[in-house]
Amino acid sequence: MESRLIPLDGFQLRLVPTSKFKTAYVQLRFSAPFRRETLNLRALLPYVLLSGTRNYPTKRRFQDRLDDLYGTQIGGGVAKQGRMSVISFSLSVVMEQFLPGGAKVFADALDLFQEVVFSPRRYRGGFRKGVLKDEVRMLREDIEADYADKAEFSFQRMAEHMFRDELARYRPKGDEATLDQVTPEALWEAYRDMLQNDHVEMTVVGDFSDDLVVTAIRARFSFPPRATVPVWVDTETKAIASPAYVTEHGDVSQARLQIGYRVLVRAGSPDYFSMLVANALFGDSDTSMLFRTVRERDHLCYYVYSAYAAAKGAVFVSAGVEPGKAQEAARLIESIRRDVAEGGFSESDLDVAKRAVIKRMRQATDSPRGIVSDYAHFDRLYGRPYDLAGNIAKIGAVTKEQVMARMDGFILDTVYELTRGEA
Amino acid sequence: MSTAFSRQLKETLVRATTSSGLKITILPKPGFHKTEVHLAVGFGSIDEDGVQGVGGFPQGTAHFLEHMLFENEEADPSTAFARLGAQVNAYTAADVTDYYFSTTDAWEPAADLLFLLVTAPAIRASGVAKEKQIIAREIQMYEDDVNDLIYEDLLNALYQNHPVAHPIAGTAASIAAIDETVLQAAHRRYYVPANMHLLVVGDVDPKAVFAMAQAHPAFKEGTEKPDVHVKGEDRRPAKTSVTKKKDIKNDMLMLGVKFDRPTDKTCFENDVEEIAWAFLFDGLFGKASPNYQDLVRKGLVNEAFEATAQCEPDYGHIVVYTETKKPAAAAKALWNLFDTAMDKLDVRRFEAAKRRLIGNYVQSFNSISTLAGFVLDYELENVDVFDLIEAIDKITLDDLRALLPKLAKDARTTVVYHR
Repeated sequence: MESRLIPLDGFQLRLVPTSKFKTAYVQLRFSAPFRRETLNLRALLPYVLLSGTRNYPTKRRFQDRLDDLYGTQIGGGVAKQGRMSVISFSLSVVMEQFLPGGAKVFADALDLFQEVVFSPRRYRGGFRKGVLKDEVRMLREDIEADYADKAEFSFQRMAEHMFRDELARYRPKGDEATLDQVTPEALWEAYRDMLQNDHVEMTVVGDFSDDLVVTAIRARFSFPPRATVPVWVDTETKAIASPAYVTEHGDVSQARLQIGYRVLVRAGSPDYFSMLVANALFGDSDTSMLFRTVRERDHLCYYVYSAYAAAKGAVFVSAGVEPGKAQEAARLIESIRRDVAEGGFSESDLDVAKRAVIKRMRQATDSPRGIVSDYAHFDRLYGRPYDLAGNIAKIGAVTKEQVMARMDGFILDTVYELTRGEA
Repeated sequence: MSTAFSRQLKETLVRATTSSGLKITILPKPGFHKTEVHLAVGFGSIDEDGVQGVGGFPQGTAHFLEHMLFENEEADPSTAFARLGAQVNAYTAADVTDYYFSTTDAWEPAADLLFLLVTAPAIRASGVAKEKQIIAREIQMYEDDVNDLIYEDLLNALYQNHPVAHPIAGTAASIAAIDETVLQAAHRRYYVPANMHLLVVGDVDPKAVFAMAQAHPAFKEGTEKPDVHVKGEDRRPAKTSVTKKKDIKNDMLMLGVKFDRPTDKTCFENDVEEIAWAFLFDGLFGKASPNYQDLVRKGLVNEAFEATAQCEPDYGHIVVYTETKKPAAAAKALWNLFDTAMDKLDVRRFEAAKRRLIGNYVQSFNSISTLAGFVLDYELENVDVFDLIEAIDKITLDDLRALLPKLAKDARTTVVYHR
């Protein structure tokens, strides 16, 4: 499976031909600098665009059309990647050779996808107020639902403390407090701006000839030239004299512990591959040092894992702990981190961590979505096509000393605990 | 070995049974890196009540046993599998305990380990005591999962005595009664080849899978399959309404309707009925229906809204769930829709819903794990997934009309509020 980049009008088309799947998968991404001022606009925009088009003006008619096209899926959303706000749309459509009677749906599905982006339902030159109001309400409820998810809620609180004066503090999902201030006019302006100025890329994964895809895409998608240069990593940081300890209270039966570390290795760095191995060894698998020690040996928590935020340069540790034991768990986690940095792990531990990373890389190529994210991410950051075998070799070559160096580079920033008690 | 081929999907299912009675299903997926192997044991929480003449086990025994096999300290299964490049997991459901791994390396060494761990456990008193603490914490963690809790409340309100209402992990009190003798007895009764099913999905040679299982010492004994219980159940729910106070921003509402059981329908017929219900719900208040849009506009439901039917031989019910700001008004509006369901069946919409479901089934063949999960469910019921996909196309509006009398709002309904 090899990818190819084809320059089209105002954007790059990335093709990944493969016959593994029953579907064709298309992803279209619009990237602009992430700003607090446009956060809510860009959070709402994909949902408003997906709520109705010129020919299918209501959600009901739109969904009806998708169903007619044998459960074609068109989705969208916003994410933050490095310094960028990324609005993406995706299309997944079953290839006709797997449908009863070989029903023809690909061209129709692509038409509908094109309509979402270029022909939204308009009202007096803008978006309809009622449509916006519905989407604001649903987004608000979605944000509120996170409050019930204690793991997610405690993570957000930790991030707010850790990144207090940084862009990373803001969630791309939306800011509940200012959501009501979005007007149909401002949203229309943001939409025009997205089409005019955002950096655009498209990836297509599926089983067809290049010519067929390029012709179909060229006929439907073109953008004027633009100057936006995306920045895919966020290097903003702060001076840390000593770690911050924060405890908050709420209605939880288990205490939630969140620890934020800074790391200097980010996506695109030559040390990125050894960082993946270090993180897997430390906490990102059920054979990790954290899991084996904090959970299995000392029974201090029900779950514990680490996550490497490569675009930001941070590692987060999350744990569910018995109330009253969170600080003990936090001390143990930090001591394990230091121990790993000093070489307190075996060659076998290292091998197991490498296998876990390699397994993830391989199985990412088993799904269209995984292919899009790994392939596209890689050539964005490294400027060359994704090479599975080459990357596996890089993981295989990671040494014990490199892992120790990566773990030694962790800087403890914030220890956050949400525990039982009156808020 | 028998082979089923779907001309539409261009996919193959290979089935075989070893001389010891172990059933095997293989779905070859050439070109995929990942292989997933499941060893499913026909022992779940609903089996814990026992059958006529044979004593039962405390609630949570099936789940406890799963923990013991995989928390085996000396073997440390997670690490042992990880050394082979495999990731292992297990879960206990109402009717099955499933042990499985996925790998992008050779599947054979990890399968060998899986077979041995599941069939030859070392259950000792010290290990049981330690595991009891871990399970108690797990039960405590479920108390934070608001979505699970409301469903459990609904099942408890719907069922008088059917064990499907029991929490799968048991309760703090019920697991206190579990010791090594209980676990060993449950293992002896249920963990026999004739009560197990092996499923392999990935880029594998079916003959090699069969040969390996046939020769494997784990599956030597040909013990008979334990009896399956079939429980009667009062047609009335235990409670018609439950309200609980929770620390949540959006209220949650769950409606339930209980079916008459047991039935003499086959599993295949039950599965087709579940699909027919899904079409009925789609027409009635699916996300593309005018009713759903109306409910959203009135602020009665949000995106979390869903409705499903479960049709099993000895239990069955409908569940309608939503988050809402106006729970009482939402419940009223939903019941009213049930009453008018007869008028809401629209041929065009029905055809669209069918197409969508067929498309969804085809799409699921993209993912090894999704595929393994749903093919296993059907294989355990002896239902051919290719036949089922073909049956979808044959469901008619009359089949949906035939379901409507079961929707009548009478003494069989329950409503649960969390606010």
